[in-house]
Amino acid sequence: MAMAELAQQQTAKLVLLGEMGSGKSSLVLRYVKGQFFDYQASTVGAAFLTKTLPELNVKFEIWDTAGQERYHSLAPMYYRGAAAAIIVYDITSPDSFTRAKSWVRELQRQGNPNMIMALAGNKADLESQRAVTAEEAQAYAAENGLYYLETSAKTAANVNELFEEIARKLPKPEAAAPRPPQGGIVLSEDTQRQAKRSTCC
Amino acid sequence: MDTTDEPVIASASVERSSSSGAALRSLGSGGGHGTAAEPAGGGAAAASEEEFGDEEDEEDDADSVGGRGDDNDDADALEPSQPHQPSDERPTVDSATGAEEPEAETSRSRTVGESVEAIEAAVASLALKHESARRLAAAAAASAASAAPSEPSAEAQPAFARASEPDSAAAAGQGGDGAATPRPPALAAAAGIDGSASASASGGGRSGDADGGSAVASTSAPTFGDDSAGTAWEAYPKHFFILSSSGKPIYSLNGDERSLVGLTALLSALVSVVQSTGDAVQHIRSGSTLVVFMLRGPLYFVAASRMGEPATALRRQLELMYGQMVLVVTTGLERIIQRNPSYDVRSLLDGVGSVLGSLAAMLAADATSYLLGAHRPLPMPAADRAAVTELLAEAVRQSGALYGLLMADTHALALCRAKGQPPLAPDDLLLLANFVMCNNAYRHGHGEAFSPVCLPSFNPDAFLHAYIHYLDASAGLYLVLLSGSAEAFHPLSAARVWLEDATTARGLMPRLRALRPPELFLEGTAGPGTSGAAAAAVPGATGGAGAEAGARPVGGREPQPPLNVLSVESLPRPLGGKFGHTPLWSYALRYNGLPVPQALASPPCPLHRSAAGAKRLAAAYAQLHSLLHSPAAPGRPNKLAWFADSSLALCAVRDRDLELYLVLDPLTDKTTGMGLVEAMRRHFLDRQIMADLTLTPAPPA
Ligand SMILES: Nc1nc2c(ncn2[C@@H]2O[C@H](COP(=O)(O)OP(=O)(O)OP(=O)(O)O)[C@@H](O)[C@H]2O)c(=O)[nH]1
Ligand SMILES: [Mg+2]
Repeated sequence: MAMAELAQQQTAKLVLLGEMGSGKSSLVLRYVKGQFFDYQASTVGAAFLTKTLPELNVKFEIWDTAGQERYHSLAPMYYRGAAAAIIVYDITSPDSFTRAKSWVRELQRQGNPNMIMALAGNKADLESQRAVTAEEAQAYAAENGLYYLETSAKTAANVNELFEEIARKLPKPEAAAPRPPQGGIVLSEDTQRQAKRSTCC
Repeated sequence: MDTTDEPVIASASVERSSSSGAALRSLGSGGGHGTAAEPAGGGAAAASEEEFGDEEDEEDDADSVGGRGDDNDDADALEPSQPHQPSDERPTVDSATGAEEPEAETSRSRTVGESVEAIEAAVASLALKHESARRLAAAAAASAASAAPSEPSAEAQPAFARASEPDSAAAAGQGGDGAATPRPPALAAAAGIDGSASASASGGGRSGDADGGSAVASTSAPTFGDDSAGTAWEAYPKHFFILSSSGKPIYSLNGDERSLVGLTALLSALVSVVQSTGDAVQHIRSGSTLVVFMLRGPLYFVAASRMGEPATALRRQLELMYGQMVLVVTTGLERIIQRNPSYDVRSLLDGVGSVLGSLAAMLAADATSYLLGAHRPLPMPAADRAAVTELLAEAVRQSGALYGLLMADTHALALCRAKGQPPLAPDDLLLLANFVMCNNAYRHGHGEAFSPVCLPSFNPDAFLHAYIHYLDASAGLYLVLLSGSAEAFHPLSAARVWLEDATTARGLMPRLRALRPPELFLEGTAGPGTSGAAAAAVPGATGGAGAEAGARPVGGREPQPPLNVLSVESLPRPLGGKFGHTPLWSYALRYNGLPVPQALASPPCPLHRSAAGAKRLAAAYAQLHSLLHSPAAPGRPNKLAWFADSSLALCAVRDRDLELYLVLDPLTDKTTGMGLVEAMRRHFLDRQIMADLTLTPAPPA
């Protein structure tokens, strides 16, 4: 099995969007490297990471974008052609939730129509400072067909689950036809359009 | 690079979109590299290509002549000498002089309180942001002028190297009339509790000061020292801040904007006053504090320092602060402010503060990083450098990048550029290095970083896209590939992988990793501020001195820094020797004769191996540089500068090949100093020595 499936390993472009400080980089670092930093430097531009999930035969090419407002104009370059997007907000910040909604709107308007979208309420470990209820976010996610999870990059809670669920929702390379529209998530064969190879010359 | 440039910068901004946000956004697609690049870039680039009779020097000349002609400087601030600050027999001559005198004299009876009120009125009216309010402010300040007690003459103190200090350079401006004629500058005289302040205004050839009259704008300095403003002011020996022309604080180095309100208001009032006469305030001296202003489009950049740096050095620092801001946001920010002065641009400046803060710390700790306007190579064996330069050129070629840089902290191992591109401006390189170094996400390798950066000398209006990758975080060793395309990530990434593989395959990687950039003694850090252990160790070149490859724990470098080719200890006699056994403490040099000038500096001697020591050394270099570059007569550059006091002796020389700056033990006499200079020249102009110290000219890419 290994050989056959390795050959068809699927590469999926995944982009993280969300307000500055919501924890995009922290989520990615937790997921890819198992690390967490209390003083994570703000991302300038974007950072690129990859992670392979052998059991699902998926290779994620992850773009961790900058939340700083002045880099907003660069975002389309990163979500263009993406198979999936994680929109991150900070459960202690209503502003970041508002910003997340506007990202969702932007993706609905300008993104790949079949993009898998996930909404991550991050910093779930800061329950005592919660300012966005899970119910509100859940309702918003259901309305907009988003996959929703609360995560903590700090404790690692739900981090693997988030990425793995997205990987599972990716359309299978050769089996594009069956599309279970569960949770309102729309799948796409477009996502097979692989991003440019990053390491060979 | 003077205020006369402002309109050019302003007019160069082409607005294509209607919303403020969009204006900046449009930069992402890259503006043309048109004439707009010239004026703003000129300031930064000029430093590197400066000839002996360059523009800055001419300004300086004009001033020193003017200053010297005016012996009567009652209204001047005379700089009280600071404990560590060298002083000589020449008195400070700031710009306020001559014609203004009588007015200042007659006004002594007025109280300080009244002048404060006047300024407050000026500030209040400023808040209206109307042209008429500006005039009001001018009037208010002018009335305050007459209230300024002028007592500084009582404490006439010799100030360091004053005769050639180009502090008031801009006061005389570059106006048409001969520099030999002392020109009474526009004056803003102020007297404070702890001394006095005087402000000079740039003539710029367009103020109405031909008849020597011009505006008398003066205020009282108590604002500096009173309760509201004084605490923060006094707490820091150095301050930078940026405000918009509507008086809004945009950035403050020490982050305490609230306690600066009084000062901010005072400064905007002054700026406004002088501006209304068509000039721009250049500097104010208040006691031992020197405040320097710089206007860039709609932004005021202000530096205030008690470090004893001359105004020219502070001005260079302001230019770099401006450049650093442009590097992160491009000049789009200025356009936004210009269009909508009340727009709160701080939302667009997220993260800029920390970049500026780290730049300020670097400038304070190492004057050789910015004063010499040159590339700063890290010494390494010439053969290794040639090999890695060749590989880098290949990576640039493969990836279609415009530039490739292999750096260790702020020092270059190799620089390459695509065909047809100009050499990178040294300032751009320094600003880019600071930008990379201060974001620990790059250093810790949180993914492959791809960041928009604007190189202000290259093109201040548009972003380039930088692929940034640390080859060794503990060695501070990183690669930057710069592309004009926002879509270039994958080819750049591929080229980086290729470069790393090729470098490893040739056995170069361990040797590169063993290199260490000189440590920086930054404020607020117990030890060295950089990753690098100890000083620039050159394996091979020093018989394997830097052979301890790989990362060494922080503690490992405490006892003994490895010997390196630039350390005074490793120089031949009579230069070299242990500290105390040679008169030479520190040196810096600039190779003037190379296609792009390159500069080197020794690691600091034990006296300067601390944040405070590094600052003293930086101030000494700044003074020395100013001394050398402020000729007594226009067109007759100084070839030699010598200064000594009880704390140190300073010596600088320059010619076509070399500029040398020596910091010597204070007992050194001039003859000994000259002997050392000769020995330095012999050593550093030796071809074999130079080979390891300078960058390899890049092979055609
Ligand atoms: N308590 C807690 N803190 C977190 C969590 N995730 C991130 N943080 C902290 O939040 C801050 C910002 O995190 P980043 O990962 O840099 O946020 P970002 O979204 O990448 O920010 P930008 O790059 O500026 O857009 C950092 O100080 C993190 O340590 C979390 O799950 N819990
Ligand atoms: Mg981030």
